[in-house]
Amino acid sequence: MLLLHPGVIANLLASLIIAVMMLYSAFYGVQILRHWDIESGSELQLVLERKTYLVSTVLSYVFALQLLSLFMYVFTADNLHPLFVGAMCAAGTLNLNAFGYPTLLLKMFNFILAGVWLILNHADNQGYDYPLIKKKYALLAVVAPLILIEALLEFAYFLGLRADVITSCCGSLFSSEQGDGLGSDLAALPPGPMIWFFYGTVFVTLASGLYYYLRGKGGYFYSFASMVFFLTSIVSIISFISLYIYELPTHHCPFCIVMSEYDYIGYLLYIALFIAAVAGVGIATLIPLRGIESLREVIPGLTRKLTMTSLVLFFGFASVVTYRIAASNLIM
Amino acid sequence: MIELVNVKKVFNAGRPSEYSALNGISLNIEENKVTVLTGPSGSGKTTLLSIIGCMSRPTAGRVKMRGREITSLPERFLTDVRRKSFGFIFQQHNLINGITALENVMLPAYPLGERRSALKERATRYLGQLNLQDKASSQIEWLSGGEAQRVGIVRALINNPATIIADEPTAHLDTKLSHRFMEIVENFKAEGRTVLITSHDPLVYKSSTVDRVIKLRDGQIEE
Amino acid sequence: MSSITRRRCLQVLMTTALAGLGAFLPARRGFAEPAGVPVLKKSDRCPVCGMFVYKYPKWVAQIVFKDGSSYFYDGAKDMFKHYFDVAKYTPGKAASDITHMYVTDYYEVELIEAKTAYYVLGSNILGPMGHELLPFKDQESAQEFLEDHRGKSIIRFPEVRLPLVMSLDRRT
Repeated sequence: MLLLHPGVIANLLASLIIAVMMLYSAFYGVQILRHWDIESGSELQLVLERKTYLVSTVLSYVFALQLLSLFMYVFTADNLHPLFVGAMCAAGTLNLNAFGYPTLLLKMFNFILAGVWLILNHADNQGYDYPLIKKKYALLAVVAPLILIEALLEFAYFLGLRADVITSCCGSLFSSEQGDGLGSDLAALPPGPMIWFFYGTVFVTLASGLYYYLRGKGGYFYSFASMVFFLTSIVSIISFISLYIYELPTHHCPFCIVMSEYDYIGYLLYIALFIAAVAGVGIATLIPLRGIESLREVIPGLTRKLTMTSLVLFFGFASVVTYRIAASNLIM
Repeated sequence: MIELVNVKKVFNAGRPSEYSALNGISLNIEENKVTVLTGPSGSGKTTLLSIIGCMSRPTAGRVKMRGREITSLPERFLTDVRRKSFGFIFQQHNLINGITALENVMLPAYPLGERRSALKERATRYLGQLNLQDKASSQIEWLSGGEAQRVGIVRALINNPATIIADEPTAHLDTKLSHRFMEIVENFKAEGRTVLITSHDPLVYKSSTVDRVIKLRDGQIEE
Repeated sequence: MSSITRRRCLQVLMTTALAGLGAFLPARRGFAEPAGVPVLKKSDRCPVCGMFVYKYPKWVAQIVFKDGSSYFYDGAKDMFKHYFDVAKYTPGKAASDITHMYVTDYYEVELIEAKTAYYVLGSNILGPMGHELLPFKDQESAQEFLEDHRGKSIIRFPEVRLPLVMSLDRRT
């Protein structure tokens, strides 16, 4: 009975909690968006002020859980692979029905949104007059339906798992020759030019981040660069980084690196990458807010912290990748 | 100046025990003056005091302090305002048993992160100003009623607040000590502080120190 | 006891202990291998699909090259995929460099020569990679398996071709 697997239960439970809390919070969010008026002393306004304290706190924990759920999902899929013929890692498990990969992609997107919301919420809490309250709940209004859809997809995936299906192994999903999915297209990218492009992106991103940190200019550019770094890194993992980690010239799978046999290096790389991406996007979200009176002194400090966080993580990612390529027994 | 705009406070709203403590209070409390709120018990004096002192929030209405709106402040900012702007003197002195008078006095200053030696020096000096220097290392349980009241006053002053709030400060004091208390209040005024007192003790509200008396009844100001 | 006899006693004890331990070690392997053949390690991965072969001891296949290097697979199917395109999965090597090929007999669970094995196709037994060529050391056991598990055909090594191997990758 697949449903009794602790990983599956944990994922579904988390998904349910998050979805329910989203609905509850979105309900109050709509109220706040419609009736909030800091100048008014009406009873409704004071009730909303009290309510937002509770709702924001609940949402902070819920969104933190959402961040965790991305990795919990991958971990569970990886953990389940021995149960399915043809699956040797999470890639195979996710391919068992049509909902596995869409759930993953939506989870990745929602990770970024959840992270941005947490940054926005933190900034809002630093101001004495709830300066970002409407923006915060407007973002919630956008995120909530996406998270609900994600919950539906996740339930459809886990409840639709059948043990009598043979799934494709990641060798063929990410094969550079056979197959015509996105995985194969990414795997087929020529490694040589890709290595140049990757390191070029690393250099530009780290340089622009350092410049922004020291001079305070070019924040938007760095934010954009960090998104490019994020996407490039994921493509690079499939294109060539994985080959060096596995020491296999044809194995492009981005999921096998989370396995224990590879010292869980996948989690290290992906967690660093995703958090850095959130920090990068967070910078672009905060910069336009620096004019707000109650946040004037707070925003620069926050953007600096986000910059340093993302720089350290990007640099760490690039270092670990470079080390693994250099120390690898594979010679391309 | 402390400005109240149509402040209402309802307890247990929606339930059978719903009780309206304040029914729309609008008033201005002048700076550097001594204001007394008086009225029968249940008239809302203590409730009003706790709202002004940032210890609770109204159900409706606003409170502004020197133009700055304080009732909508998020929790962390409210506690910050309360800590820095107000000193509280309670009817029951509300000192903490088991620690010394000096430690009680220093307590409200801890969150501000001052160096302990400087704080200790200041606290001892303030205690000296009210003739309590010999009692600084005494446990609270050993102090007399009047001494405890004075320790409470020093505690209220430790963060050098602009406003002193006192709730029935003379309720447990004899006549001599009550007069002493009003002298201390006169000192506050001389130091530039605002003082807000609730009392139904005529010794307080008929004192020459008092600049304004506001009468409350059933949650509203009586004209 | 004098120190010389004590030393002698300890030496004898140590040798006996080591010999005894040595006797236990080979018994931990899951299945029988021909003597002199390089042995599977936990870090060995199938060069075709990247699977860790130690997890599937009943399906191990092996190719040994003339330079002594050895590759392990999670089934005969992947071994054949490597065999039909050696340079793709191991650049610099060719089929002519191969000295030995082994597959695991399904019933006996021991390595047998791949070139003389009998392969059953179309049965309802699935390997780690899905549909497989199931190896047997002789015709009788292959036939017995075919009848027990609804196999469709038995083929020999020279009949195995790449399109046939690739057709085993279907998901049904």
